[in-house]
Amino acid sequence: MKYKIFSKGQVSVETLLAIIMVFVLLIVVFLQNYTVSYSNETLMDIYTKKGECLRFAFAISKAYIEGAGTSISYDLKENTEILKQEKFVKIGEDYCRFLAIPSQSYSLSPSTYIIRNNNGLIEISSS
Amino acid sequence: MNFCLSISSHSKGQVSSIDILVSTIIFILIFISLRGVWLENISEAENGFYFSELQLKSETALDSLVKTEGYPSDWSISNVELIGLAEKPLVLSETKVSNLVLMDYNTAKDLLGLGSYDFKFDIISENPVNNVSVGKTLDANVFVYSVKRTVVYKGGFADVTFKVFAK
Repeated sequence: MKYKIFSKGQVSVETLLAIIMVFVLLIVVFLQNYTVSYSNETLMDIYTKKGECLRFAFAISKAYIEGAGTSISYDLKENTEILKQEKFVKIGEDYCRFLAIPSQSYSLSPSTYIIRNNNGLIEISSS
Repeated sequence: MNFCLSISSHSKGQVSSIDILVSTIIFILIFISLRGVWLENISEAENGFYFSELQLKSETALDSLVKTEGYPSDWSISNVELIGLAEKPLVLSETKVSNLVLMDYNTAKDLLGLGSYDFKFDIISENPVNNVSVGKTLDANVFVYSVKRTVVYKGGFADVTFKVFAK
């Protein structure tokens, strides 16, 4: 009876160690995966906003470069500010420089806008 | 009898542990490989994004230089808000090109919206006497995006190249 209990105990210790090792590894894998998923979402968010910032700044510059009378329709997907003095598009924490003179500063919500070059000054209005 | 049972249990336990260990190691190796591939993809996506940014900024800056008058239209170094070198699209003004040559490099870079990127602007004329070069010299091992336009400068055709580069 004593031997029986002892032999079961030996197996249990090994199994226990193996299970603990597996659990520790699973926790490590889970935490790594969680970090990867988290950074994946963060990266997506960062690049979506930064990409939108660059595209909108490019659209404003393009309207200026192509000369008076140019109109560009733009489907804006993020809340955006246009800073007249600094000549920046601001989306979240991203600032993108545009090469144009806006007629005023703007605070825009997601919608479709017309960017118009009115004799060298850029005006933005809802379509 | 009890002794035999004990050995039997002990040996089964060992096999079980080794199985788990081997399978866990294989799993970790596969996981590390897949993670490596994923990180490589992220790195490629980031490089693609910065390349697009460089491309957008280069083309916008060069088009602004060769197609617009700048702001104000008769700008000088002291009052310039936007740099444009054109009298009319793709015809460059000698005065404005001279102003750009005399302008502080960092001010020009800022006004061209290049942020942390450096640039080199060259006008290569039919007559080499009219050649103009503004900006930094390219270092080795830098990532360069180059844009080219043909313009009229000092009565003749000239190739304008605009290189934007990042370390």
